[in-house]
Amino acid sequence: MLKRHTPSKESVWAEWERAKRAAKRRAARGPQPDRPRTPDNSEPWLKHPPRTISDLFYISDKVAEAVAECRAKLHRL
Amino acid sequence: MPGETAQIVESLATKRRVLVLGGMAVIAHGLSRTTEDADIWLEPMDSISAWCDVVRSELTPLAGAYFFDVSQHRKISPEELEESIDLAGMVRVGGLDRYLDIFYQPHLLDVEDFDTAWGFATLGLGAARILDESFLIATKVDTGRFSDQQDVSFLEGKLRSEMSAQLAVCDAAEATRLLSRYIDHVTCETALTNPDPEVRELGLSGLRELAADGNPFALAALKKME
Repeated sequence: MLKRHTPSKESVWAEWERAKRAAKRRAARGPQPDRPRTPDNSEPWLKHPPRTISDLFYISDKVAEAVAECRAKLHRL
Repeated sequence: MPGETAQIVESLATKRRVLVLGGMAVIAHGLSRTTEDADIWLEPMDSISAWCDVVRSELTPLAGAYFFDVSQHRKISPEELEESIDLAGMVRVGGLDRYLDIFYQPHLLDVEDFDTAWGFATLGLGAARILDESFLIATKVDTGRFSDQQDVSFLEGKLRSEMSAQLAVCDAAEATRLLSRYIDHVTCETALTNPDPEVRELGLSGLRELAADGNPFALAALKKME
């Protein structure tokens, strides 16, 4: 029977450390005015949720293409 | 032939229960990632032989398709399928546009888990269903693969976010069902905001359980409540 999952101790402690660092940064900055959050501007790979196995492969291929395009543009500084 | 693997999976799913797992399932759950193959869990049958017969009848007639034993790193004949399944719990089908890995028993799951996994699956692709996040995580822990660690992290985040939205408003029966699959400090703390005292009690007992295991968020939350 499948056991209930809980995140590993390592990942929980890493999250705890991140949260502590973020709290320290916020405290050091002091009160800040409310700023509008940047809206999510990501475009879905498909106009609809995946409906077929081919849709999933299409997403995988598009991601692979995008990664390859990005890598081709990268250069060492 | 392009799309051949997808067609085989979709055709098989119209005849037998098929759960999609692996990278394809993670993409279906919303992560933009790549995958080289298709992983499916074909429902168990009365015996391994009966299961292998179904796999053979679907795959053997396809021109160019062959079976590959990943544990022995060699092509196998259709007659060797039983032995291979017994050894590795899965078989790879090559010679298609993509590898197709057909599991009899996925990593860290039992054959007997299939019915529960099928019942928990809420996403479908044609007749096939997508393995639910909690079952998918189970197949990806302790594999030592970096991509699996990333998948687990994504799936945990998705479960946390979706379950929290439900735990704030659901009844005790649903909260029990949800928390039987996954638990973390955020889901438990969200349960504490539910108007139903039974759900709040579930959240509190979850936090105590996590705190007993040394979870710093749970310890801090309980201390704050004192």
